[in-house]
Amino acid sequence: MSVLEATHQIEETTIRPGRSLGQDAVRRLARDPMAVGCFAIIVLYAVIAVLAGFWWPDFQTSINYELRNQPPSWAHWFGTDVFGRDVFAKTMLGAKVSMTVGFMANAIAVPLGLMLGVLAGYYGKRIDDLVVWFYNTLASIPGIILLIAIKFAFQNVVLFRDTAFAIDLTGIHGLYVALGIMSWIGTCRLVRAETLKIKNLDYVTAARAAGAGHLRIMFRHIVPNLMHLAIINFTIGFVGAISAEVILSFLGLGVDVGTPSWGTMINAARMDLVVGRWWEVIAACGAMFLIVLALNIFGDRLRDALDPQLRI
Amino acid sequence: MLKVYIISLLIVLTLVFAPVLFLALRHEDRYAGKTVLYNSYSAKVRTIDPATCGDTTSAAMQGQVYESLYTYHYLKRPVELIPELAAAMPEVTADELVYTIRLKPDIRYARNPCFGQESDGRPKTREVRAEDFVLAIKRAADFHLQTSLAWSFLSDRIVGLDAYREQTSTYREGDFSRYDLEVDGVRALDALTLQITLVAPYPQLVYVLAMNTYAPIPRELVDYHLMTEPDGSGRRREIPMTRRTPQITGPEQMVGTGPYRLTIWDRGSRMVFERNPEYNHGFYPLEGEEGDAEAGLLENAGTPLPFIDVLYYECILEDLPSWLRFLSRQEDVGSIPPDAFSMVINPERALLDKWQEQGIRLVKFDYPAVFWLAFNMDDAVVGSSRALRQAMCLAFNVEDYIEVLSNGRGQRAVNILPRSFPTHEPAGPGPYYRYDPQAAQARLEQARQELAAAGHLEADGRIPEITIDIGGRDELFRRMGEFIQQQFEPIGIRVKIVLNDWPTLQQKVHNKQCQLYTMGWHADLPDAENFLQLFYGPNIEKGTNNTNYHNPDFDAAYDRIRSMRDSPEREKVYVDMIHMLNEDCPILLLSEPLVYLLVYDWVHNYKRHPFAYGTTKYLRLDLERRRMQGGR
Repeated sequence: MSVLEATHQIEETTIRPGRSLGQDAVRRLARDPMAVGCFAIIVLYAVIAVLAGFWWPDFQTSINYELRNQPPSWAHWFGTDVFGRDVFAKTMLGAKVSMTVGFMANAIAVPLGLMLGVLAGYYGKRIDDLVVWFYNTLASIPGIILLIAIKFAFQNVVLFRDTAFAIDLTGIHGLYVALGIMSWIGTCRLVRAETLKIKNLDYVTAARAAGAGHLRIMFRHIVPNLMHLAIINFTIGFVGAISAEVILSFLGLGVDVGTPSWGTMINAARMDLVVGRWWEVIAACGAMFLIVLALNIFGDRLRDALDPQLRI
Repeated sequence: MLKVYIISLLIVLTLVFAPVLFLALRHEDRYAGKTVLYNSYSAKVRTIDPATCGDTTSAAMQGQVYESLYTYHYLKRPVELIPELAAAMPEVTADELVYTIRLKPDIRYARNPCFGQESDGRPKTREVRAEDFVLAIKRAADFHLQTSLAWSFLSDRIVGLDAYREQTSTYREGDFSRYDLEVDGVRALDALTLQITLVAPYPQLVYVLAMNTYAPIPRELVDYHLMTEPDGSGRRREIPMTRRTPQITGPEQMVGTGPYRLTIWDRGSRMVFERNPEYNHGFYPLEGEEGDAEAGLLENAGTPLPFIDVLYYECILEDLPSWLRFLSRQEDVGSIPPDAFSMVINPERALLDKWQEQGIRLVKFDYPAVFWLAFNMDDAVVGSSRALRQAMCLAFNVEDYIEVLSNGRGQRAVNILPRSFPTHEPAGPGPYYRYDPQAAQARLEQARQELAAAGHLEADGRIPEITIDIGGRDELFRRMGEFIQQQFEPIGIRVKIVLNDWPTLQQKVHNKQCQLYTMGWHADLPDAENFLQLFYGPNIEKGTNNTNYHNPDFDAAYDRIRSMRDSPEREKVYVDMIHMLNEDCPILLLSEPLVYLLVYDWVHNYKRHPFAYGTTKYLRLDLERRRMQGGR
């Protein structure tokens, strides 16, 4: 490239209208075929999660004991399960559980981590000590053990019992809460560190000098600059939550009996491989593999796209 | 400084070689040269105390160590009661109230430190005495022991025993002087003569005395193991009364007369029994039923028992590892998991040739048990509407349940008694123990009216969601839960399934916290009364009536049969009582099990007994064949 061309390009860049971090990230992601592909898979899973319940509303009673444990065929692409139900439908309904768990767990964890991280980073001192002590303590307990303990503690616990808002924590709701209260630590650590840095930047000092209150500074000036961390953590946390749901369901501590999920499918298929029935476990593992891979790749690309240091 | 180096070096060497030493002392070497049976059990052993035994797993393990006054002939069918520690069948007075039982002389307990020490350092033993049976019965009546099953057979039966139980409640738990109190109805006339005086005739008593729950307990066991503990210097010190527990809890406290003694009990992991050298009174039966000789079951007739030196049991709660261990010849006997059934058994219900060629044979047997879903009759919803219970019984396709979940291994239970019980046939099938969805809908309409009258319908007129507790957490129980949901959903009954481990379910049932739950009963003795007592009102308090069923007519009938001898009149009352249960439906009957067991051909003399525990002593192993076929 000649010197003249390079100068010309710089001029073009400088005269281009300004773009926000978000707009820039979207533009860069849109240009990345891998990111687009992964995003399409995530959207597809999300659509399946929303529509599967409507598409197969009678799955639970779609039993046909004559067709138990049939291998894949044209009628049943992924074969049938122990009750003669379609494994394809079961896999799709499992996506609903996994996507919901991933979303709900992070809907609890990410805001919680964000809030605690900002509070700790902004106020420092005792609040910081308290938050750091709390997440260090929590992090020192092996995650899966704590998760199992929380799920056991939730057995037969119903919040707001006898009201219209009753939440039975024994089943899937308990899973949301357990995963949510276990998964905020990573977000909190990152946000706290970033807040410690941001709170001393000029624009925050200026806001303080202009008489802005603590809450306004935090939520108007600091939090918006941390949202990229929240988005990235949401994506990464999604993978963790899906995996944890599968593990807990495998251990019999996940979803309610009668709710199809990939974890229960894998659990149900433990004996299947020994006797040559591979379709149910392959379907569940394959579905999980695809979404976890897509989320991981998309999370990586999103982190790159939202990193201001990589902005052109 | 040198010392520090040396100590550090020693610590490092210890850490390095400890695992090597541990591996070197593994059980395979420890039992080298001995005949060892390898097997597994699939539920946790709850107790090793005979008085508190109430589940089949514990009973099976206890049967290796404890013996009773009577037992069952190993081979004869129908079952036949024979003396075990008793010298003969009891002498009964004409009024059938006084039983005099003479004991075999020179029956000795396994050696145990509680009897003292020989001059050569070995623990002593002693002869079994009648007073040991008196203590066993007193322990069964002890208020401070959880003896629900043992006590249910004796309460209101023996003169003075209920009063004794009352008295024990006034003692502190750790005060074992209560065992010195006299009970008029249970006395040792001399060292080898026991006398039991009844309140009213109790023809089932001999069967009850064949249960290991009343195995003799030497007083030395209480004085030594339950009242003292090692003080760390090789001697023993008294345990403060506040810390004493009346329950037998450790292997060293398990003092029995049986062919084995428990040497290792890693709770939830393994149990190892070794031959009791003092056992000298067991012999293989000389005769059996027709076909036993041809089946090779009389080859060891008259031979002293046991044939096996060590019973090595490992606790494996799940089917898959247990099945894989059997296939790799790590276990001598194995059951077939439902998922593997079709690869083992052909459509004609026989073992596939390829397994027979591997030296495996199939043993099929039914045992006198019935499984059911129990309604908690104290529950506001299922307890208050008979029509709801009837509808749920009619809506449940038990035939499919057996086929789908058990590969057809079982039969639909149609009344509370197993088919092997004589009263089963005249009692006939219950009108609601059949699959009829239309009739279920009709009963459901009636149920809605009953529930509406009782104020238990939801605001939108729906029947409230019903919670069903299941006593297991693994995949088989999850499937069972799903199947149950599938049965009730078509008639509009919403069901929530809660999976529990077995002890948790028992605790919930005990605390009356369940609405509907999985349960069953394995007969303790060949008499219908054993099943009917589960619904006798006064047994709610004793813990055996856990449906909380209370029907004054049923209770009155039960009071009548309590003291009746086997007769057509008694059978008629039994039938009436079963009809009451059939109509009230306090349980949703499921299945009578049929067991398919796989046994390697190096295991001889295997014949399943419907009631007796501790029959492993009759088994013989061909070690040479096991080794040749790749076994342990």
